[in-house]
Amino acid sequence: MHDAELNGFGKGDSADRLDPEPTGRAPPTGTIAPRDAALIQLETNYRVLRGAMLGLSAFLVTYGAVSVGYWIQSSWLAPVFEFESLLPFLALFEVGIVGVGLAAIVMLSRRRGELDAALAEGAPSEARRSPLGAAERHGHILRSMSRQVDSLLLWIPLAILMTVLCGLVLLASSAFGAAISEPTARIAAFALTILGVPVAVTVFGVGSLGGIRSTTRHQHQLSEGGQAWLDPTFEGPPEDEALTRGSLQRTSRAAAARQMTGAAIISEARARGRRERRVVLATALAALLGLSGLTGLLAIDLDCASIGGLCNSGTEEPVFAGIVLGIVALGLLAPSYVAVMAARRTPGTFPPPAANANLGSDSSRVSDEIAVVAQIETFQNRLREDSRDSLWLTWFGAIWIVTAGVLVLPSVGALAYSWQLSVLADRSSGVAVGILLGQGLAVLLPVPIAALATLTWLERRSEDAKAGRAYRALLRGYALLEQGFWERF
Amino acid sequence: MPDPLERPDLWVVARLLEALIDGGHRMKRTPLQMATGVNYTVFSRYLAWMTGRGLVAIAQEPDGAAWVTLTPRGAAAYRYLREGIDRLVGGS
Repeated sequence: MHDAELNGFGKGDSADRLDPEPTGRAPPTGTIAPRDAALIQLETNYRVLRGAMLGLSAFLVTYGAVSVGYWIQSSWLAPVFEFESLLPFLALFEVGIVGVGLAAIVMLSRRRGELDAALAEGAPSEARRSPLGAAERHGHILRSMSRQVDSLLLWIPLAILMTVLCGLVLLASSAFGAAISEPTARIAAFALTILGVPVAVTVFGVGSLGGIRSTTRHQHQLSEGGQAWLDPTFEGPPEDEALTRGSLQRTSRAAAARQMTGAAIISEARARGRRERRVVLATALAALLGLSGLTGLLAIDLDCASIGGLCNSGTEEPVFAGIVLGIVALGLLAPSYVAVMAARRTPGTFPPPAANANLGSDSSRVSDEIAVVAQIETFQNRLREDSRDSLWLTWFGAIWIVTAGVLVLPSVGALAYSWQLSVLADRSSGVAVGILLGQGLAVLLPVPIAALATLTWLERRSEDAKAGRAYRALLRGYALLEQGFWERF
Repeated sequence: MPDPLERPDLWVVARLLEALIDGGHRMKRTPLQMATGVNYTVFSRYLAWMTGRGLVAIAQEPDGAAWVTLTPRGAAAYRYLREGIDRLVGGS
């Protein structure tokens, strides 16, 4: 988020304007923590996470598509599609995955450079005006962010390396399967399974735990920043009810605005903390399940292509493949579930436009009125941002669901066909039925959730639009007032 | 005096004008700065900016104290803000 967006007056480049500095304990009422380091940091953190999640999504979707596609064709469609026809796609996916990973690295490196520059500047003078108060805390947040970027810079290359390694093994084992001896193929499959899962667990587990810990710490810091805005002598209710007419009559508009700001920041901290933890967990879950499943798939692929083990053994193959496919499906579906839940629960964290109704009375002071009205822009920016995040999460969930459905449904059909064949002679038909039911549920379960999430989002969007219109009307008036003032005086 | 403010904050300008109105259109610098609620450096820059635009005037008394006076133009500016904000938020 740019400073200008956080700026209470939103005049663009903040470098050429001056903000009042408070002389007392309380922060200025004319700005709503415009350069609050924690807010900026949290926003950055969220964007980095979102970028990383997108990269990971691309990785899982493409690799899952290739693996499942190849598994289907190698199991049932081999006479129709030769493996060689998949080679260009495999190569393209590999290049794409590496490209996404490298782009993420470049983005993170730039962010790292910005953080370094910010740290090199020392404690910015703005930190003195921040509700967080101490410059040391600002530096601490920057250093914390640096550590997080460092960890991302560590695990993304590892993920790329693993992807390339798996792809190479798959290509080599499948294309030159005939030339690979049975023990070699078994060792390769075993090594992939043994090495791949722990690497995935270690890399993503450590990264997720670090992310959750960092998010929790940032939430705490941001809450502290919000607390700094609250006036202990304020007579009105401390949070949402602070804007009632009764509480406003007992104190000045500026004090009410301060309460509103503090409550909003605290609420924002809690909401963002929850949301970020959810995103981190979803990413980790997807990574673990997806990578575990894919590793298992590769092992089976190796087995099928090179040594004709399970593929030719008849009844066991659909069961094993179904289990692996189920894991992959869960890996694909878990983020969709979490994403749609996150979209549903993305809260509107800032005061409603009803706040406007509390403005304007005989006893009000002009400067206090200006302070409150000017903050509306920040509320509007927040509202817009929340709505955008909610939309993004909803679409993310929808894309995941469609992807999972496209990948899983044909497999379910193939499995059903396979099961029909095997049920006659297969003693493990119960297992196959279980797998089918599980996969059916995995595909169907997110549908009502997604529908509910979409309805909730549409409802919220309507509310946001109303609030946005009210805010915009107020801001247009304020902009005209301000412009008229500068022109006349 | 050079104008140090390219984009002044309307809130501070309003606070300063309002403090002068409350103080009977004439105040000494330090009480005015306290009433405005900004630090002395920022206050001085805003005061210089407003003096340059004829919103306030600074008069040096024989005893050496500097008094800040609201000019008719400054009073008009305050009225403009008062009426504008009342219209904006629907106040009476």
